[in-house]
Amino acid sequence: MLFQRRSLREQFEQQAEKVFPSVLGTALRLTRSREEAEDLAQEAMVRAFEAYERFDGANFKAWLLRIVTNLYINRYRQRQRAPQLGSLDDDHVAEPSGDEAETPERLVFDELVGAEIEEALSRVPEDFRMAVMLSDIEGLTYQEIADATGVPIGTVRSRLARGRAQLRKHLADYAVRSGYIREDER
Amino acid sequence: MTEPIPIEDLHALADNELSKAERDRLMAAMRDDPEAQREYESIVAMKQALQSQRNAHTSDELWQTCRARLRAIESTQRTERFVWRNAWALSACVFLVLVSAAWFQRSGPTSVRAQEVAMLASGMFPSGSSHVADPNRFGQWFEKEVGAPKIPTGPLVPVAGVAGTFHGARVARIVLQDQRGTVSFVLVHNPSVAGRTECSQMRYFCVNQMRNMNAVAWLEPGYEMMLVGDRSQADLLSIAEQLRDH
Repeated sequence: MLFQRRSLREQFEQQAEKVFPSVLGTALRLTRSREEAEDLAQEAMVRAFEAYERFDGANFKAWLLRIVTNLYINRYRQRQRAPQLGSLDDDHVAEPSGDEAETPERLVFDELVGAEIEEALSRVPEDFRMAVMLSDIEGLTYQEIADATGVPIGTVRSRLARGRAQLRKHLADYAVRSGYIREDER
Repeated sequence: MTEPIPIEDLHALADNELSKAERDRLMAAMRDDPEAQREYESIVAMKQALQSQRNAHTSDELWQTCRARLRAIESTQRTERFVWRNAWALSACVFLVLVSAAWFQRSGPTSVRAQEVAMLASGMFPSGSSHVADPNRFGQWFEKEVGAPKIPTGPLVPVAGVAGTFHGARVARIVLQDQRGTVSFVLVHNPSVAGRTECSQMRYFCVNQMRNMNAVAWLEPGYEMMLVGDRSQADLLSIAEQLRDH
């Protein structure tokens, strides 16, 4: 039994090492603080290891990110005095404008460097940011995001649409400031 | 006029969350809707930009810290599991040790019996004692410890003895037994010791109580003697008289 348990830890480490950058990245994007992110990532790894025997074996990364987000929601978010949830006014979706520039936005995004993306992402309200991060950066399915954040799939769809719209707006601001596109091309 | 394509459907398409039928229907609708096509391309472009951020943050040092913590937790869990699984065996070992120690203590030649512990605690028992429990060695022990060649037991049988010092005086206590039980026969050398029983009530015997038991004391040359037991005063007096006759 002792050897079996040791093997379990090694098995866990083998899987966890591959997804640890996702855990740390998610923690960083949630907390927006290096120190808190490292605490959160460590705590999540410990919790995951303690619960590893109950892991169903389906999607380790989704399971681990669910632990990170749940831990963040239960612990770190409670510390925040002013909730960062977007208000109804903030939630409006930036519908595509009729006079959208002919230049494919892909070219604009390709020009953007990681720091600006992270900066723009950090300005998106937390619940929307979480959905966008888990979907677009970590590649989780809607169902996995719903499980991780504890909301129905319909809410995940809505948050993704709104979060991406806000992110696009922030990135467009950056693109204009940086001269990638003109104001009238927004 | 065709209905506008819901924005969330475009996101679901980009996220590959639609069934084949839904995807085919949406793709067909998009062919006639350039605005939806641009929106779809915008979503895909943003997803690709965000995907470039995957694994952007890593820290080998932090990972090693996590591994160290996991190893520590594993070690603790192993210990806890071992103790939990073998708790019954550990408890049994402790119990066995206690029972064995009690057994050896009880059966040893110099062991202290339960009633003697009580007497020690109550101050009735001599300290630095020597014991005897073997009836065949009783006479020899008595002569050595008390200095008398014969035990004045009368009609009772000696079953145990202990000798030592009590408040500086040499004391021997002999447990005498008859059909009604046991009484303690105590001999104290040097009757001038402070606190000795004053025998002025009767000619020979002084009757009193000690530790809620009746006691009879009397003086003999070189000794003060005392009988203590859970008996009536008359019984103790009767036994004391028989002891004196011996």
